[in-house]
Amino acid sequence: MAEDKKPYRRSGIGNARAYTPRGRTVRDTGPVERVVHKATPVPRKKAASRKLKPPPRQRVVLKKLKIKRTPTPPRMGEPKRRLRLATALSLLLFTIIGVRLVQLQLTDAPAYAAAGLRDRLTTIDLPAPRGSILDRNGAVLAHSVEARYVGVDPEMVKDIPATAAALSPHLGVAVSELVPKMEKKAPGSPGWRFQFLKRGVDVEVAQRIADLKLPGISIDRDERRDVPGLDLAANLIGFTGTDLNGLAGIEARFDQVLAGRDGKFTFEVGQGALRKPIPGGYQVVTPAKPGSSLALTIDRDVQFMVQRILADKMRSQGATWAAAIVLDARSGEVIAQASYPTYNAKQPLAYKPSERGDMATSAVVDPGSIHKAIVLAGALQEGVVTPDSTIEVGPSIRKGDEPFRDHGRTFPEGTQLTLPGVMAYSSNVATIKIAEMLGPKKLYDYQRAFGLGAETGIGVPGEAAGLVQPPENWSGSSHGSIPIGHGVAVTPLQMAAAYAAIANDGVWVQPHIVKETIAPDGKHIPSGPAKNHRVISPENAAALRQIMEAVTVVDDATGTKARLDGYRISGKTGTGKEVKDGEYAPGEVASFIGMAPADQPKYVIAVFAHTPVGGGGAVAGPVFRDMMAYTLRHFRVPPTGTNPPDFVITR
Amino acid sequence: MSAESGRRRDPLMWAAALRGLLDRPLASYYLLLASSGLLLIIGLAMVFSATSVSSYGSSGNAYKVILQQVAAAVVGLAAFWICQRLPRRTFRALAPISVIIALVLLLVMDGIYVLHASGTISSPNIGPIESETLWLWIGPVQLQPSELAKFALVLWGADVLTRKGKRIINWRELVMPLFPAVALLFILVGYNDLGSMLCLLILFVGLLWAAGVPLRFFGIMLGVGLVGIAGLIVAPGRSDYRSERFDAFFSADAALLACKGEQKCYQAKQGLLALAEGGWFGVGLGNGSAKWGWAPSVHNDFIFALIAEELGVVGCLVVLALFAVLAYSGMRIGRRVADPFRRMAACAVTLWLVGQAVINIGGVVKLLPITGLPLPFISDGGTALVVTLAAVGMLASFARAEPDAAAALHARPPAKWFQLVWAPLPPLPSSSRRVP
Repeated sequence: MAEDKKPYRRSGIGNARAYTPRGRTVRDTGPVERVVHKATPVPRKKAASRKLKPPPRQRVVLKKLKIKRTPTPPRMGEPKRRLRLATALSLLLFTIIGVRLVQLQLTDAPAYAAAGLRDRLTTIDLPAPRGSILDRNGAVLAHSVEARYVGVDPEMVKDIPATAAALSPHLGVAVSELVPKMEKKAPGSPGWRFQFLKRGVDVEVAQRIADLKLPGISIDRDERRDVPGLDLAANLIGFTGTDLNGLAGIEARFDQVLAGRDGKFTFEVGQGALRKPIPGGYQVVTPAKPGSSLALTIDRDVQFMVQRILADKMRSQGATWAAAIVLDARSGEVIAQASYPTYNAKQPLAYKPSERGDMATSAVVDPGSIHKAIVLAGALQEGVVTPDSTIEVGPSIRKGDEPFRDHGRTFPEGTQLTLPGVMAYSSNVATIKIAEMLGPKKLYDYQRAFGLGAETGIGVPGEAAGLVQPPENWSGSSHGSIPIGHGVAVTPLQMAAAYAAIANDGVWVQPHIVKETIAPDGKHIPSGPAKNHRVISPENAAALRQIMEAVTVVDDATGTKARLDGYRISGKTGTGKEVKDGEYAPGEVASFIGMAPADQPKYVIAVFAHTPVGGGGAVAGPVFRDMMAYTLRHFRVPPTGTNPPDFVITR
Repeated sequence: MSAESGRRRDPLMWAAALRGLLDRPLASYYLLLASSGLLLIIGLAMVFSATSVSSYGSSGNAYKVILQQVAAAVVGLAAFWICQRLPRRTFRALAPISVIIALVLLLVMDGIYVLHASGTISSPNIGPIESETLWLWIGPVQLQPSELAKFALVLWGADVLTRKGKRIINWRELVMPLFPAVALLFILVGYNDLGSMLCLLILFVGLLWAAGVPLRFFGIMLGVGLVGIAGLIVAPGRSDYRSERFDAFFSADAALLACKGEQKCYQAKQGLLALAEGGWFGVGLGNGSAKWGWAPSVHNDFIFALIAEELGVVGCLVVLALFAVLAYSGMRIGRRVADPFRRMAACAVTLWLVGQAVINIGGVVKLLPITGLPLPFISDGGTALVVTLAAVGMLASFARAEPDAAAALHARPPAKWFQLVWAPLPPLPSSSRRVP
């Protein structure tokens, strides 16, 4: 084979020599002429150049000069060889460039390309709005609106006084506040290239500012939390910070649900005048996740009236604080939850923290006489007493070292007091005797069963748990004080929920405030079913409700001011103390918790007020009455058709 | 049968066939037309790709710049057509005139510039003539005198050297009318444009090389040239950017990529990024991002970076191969023509185009420092394209005048109308010499 190849190769080159291009075979004269020209040029050229350069004189001079100057004359280059060299050099240069191109690709090209891409990328945030807070009918309590911020780059501001003067009327910020923000700062110090002048500026106002074309003033997208109701349910809803993060109330408790997660749009841009997204370039979109909205169980109208009634009465009573809760007796939904004092949620930081709290869940008080309903409920359920039982009372009773006597109406020793009588006149002596029959252990169990001493989990941050003492911690006087609601720490909401259990035929339902979550796609996700458990039987609950009607019905009873024409009201007054830092604060906590209609309760309203002086009936009774009147009217509850029974007080 | 199979198995068969093709008398002509034509088409496509975005951004019309370039290409093709038809004696007759025109234009351009810089005249124009560093506006017509100077130097240098003939082995004979004029040309061009001056230098060296100037003269000129270039690079004042470009050239690739916005390394970095971005096959014609304001002069001096990005290494190698074919065919014409004027002019034009391409591409791929030279045929720029096509037209006429080619054309002459529309028959070397 090797031997074979050699002749072939030779013959191949030979063939190439013999190769005749296509066009040539057609012509027969071509090759002949070609051979002639190819063979002749070299000698002819030399001859021609000699012939063409006629003056031999010059040449002679030249030769002489040459001989004189240089012994060996420089030789002329041979043009063909030189041109071949130039060809080779050119091709070599192109080859080197080609090698360099390949070498670049084989080294770190991907890393370089990635670095280049990084330079060209830019990212913008896709804003995700925060969810709204709505009432039970979908009316807005708090929501986010698109706004603009106005900022300043101090390095770019030309005329500070003029700029501040131009901005001040639009922003509603004093010139004296604007000027320091615009002044040049040390390079690198915080805010030397950017300061917010105002956030949450209306879009139209921002447009007007943009039209001024002030150097150094920037305007961009912002989000603003709007609370159309100002102080409406403000203590409950809370407020947000500058970055729209929930700081208090439901805004804080449900921040995870409400807050949207901003999206990102990363894309390749050009530079300078072409600083725009490059079509077909690198693009990655992380979609924005808007926050979910919350629909509360609050009714905006009821909330408004409850707040207004509470505030009006409490201002005139000189209350330090007050709370009112309207509960749906069946479902445990909070229809309204008001606090006094309240604040304007648009400017939360202009108020004291104590004015911004939700008193219904954060105030810890001695319930006082309203606690008697729990004692009675336990006694009825345990069969210690029956609705027709009478209790033998006297003007006072001694427990431990302490005498406990009745306030208001007192009864002589040996009076047989009926249960309606016990409640109507809020007899301490009778209640202590009933509790004695029930026993501390059972009383403690019923306290816990009615939800005292534990957070209700309504959904408001900072809810207090309160405190009920187990029997082993009781002192001697505890046997007298605890049944009448002293030495027990509760929140107004806990007591409202306990009464709602009586109203709801003996079933305790966890009070709750969030009706449903509304996802960004509009899907309604109802809150899970509220926790509930039976505490007393329906019969006992009904009997207790009837007994407590005496509080408003009996003419000289404690709660007559809570009477409401046309409706049967069952309830209880109370006068307790506020527990602050482990001590009783001065002043009284007047309370009234009632339900209507008493035969078939729909709503439970609890009113608590911390006033310098005054009992539950006088302070809280009228407030309860007005709130209940509005609530029943608002929900179109027909007046009770039946009349309350005639109560027998003593036997 | 055995011969057939032997031919098929022969691994050098393709080389033989290639050689056969190259032996054809008009091979240089067709190679020249094909390579320059393809380069022109690639150039127009790349200029459109480079300018459409910025042109749309600034004027709302993506075709604004490319239409100007296409118009320049049409003018250039006309120049090609004319130069292909012109006989040798016309080129020689035009040589002194053209070099005088080029010198005058350069003098006017630099003169206005200097007067303006020194504050003698308030605006850089005298009447309708306006100077813009490298360009001269005569009314609405924009000219780049340095491009004209290249062609003028080719013609005049070849003419003078042809007339001198063998006398150039004498130093004084070689230097006398040529060197002062060329030095003046260098100074006028190099005043603002080192790249074009380098190109003129290469061209001039090509002329002398093809003329057969003795090697020892080259040694002397090389030394003088190196000193001159070094002086220009480190020259203080306005041309600081030159030494900065050298700094960028001498820094490593990785160090260059860490460059953040500083002017001196920015362009070199963008070139490397474009090469890396393109990879082997490129991101696709029109898809590049360098032209979005990232790489400076991407339509002009840096168009090779755009080719690298959009067409990849493969596209770059195609362009390089076309330039190589152009270089080969130009040199081949120089080798084959019988006449010394044609030989020198062909060699000078070829070296000019090759040198300009190598300097430009070498700058982009960081083999050489960056110089502001356009890539022949491809870069945006009217004067350069017209002059290049005219020079190629002259090369084409030389290619047809190769003795073999002329003989072949005479043996089977094209139709009369074709000669009228395209090009007349070249003179037969033998007959042309026999006649006088």
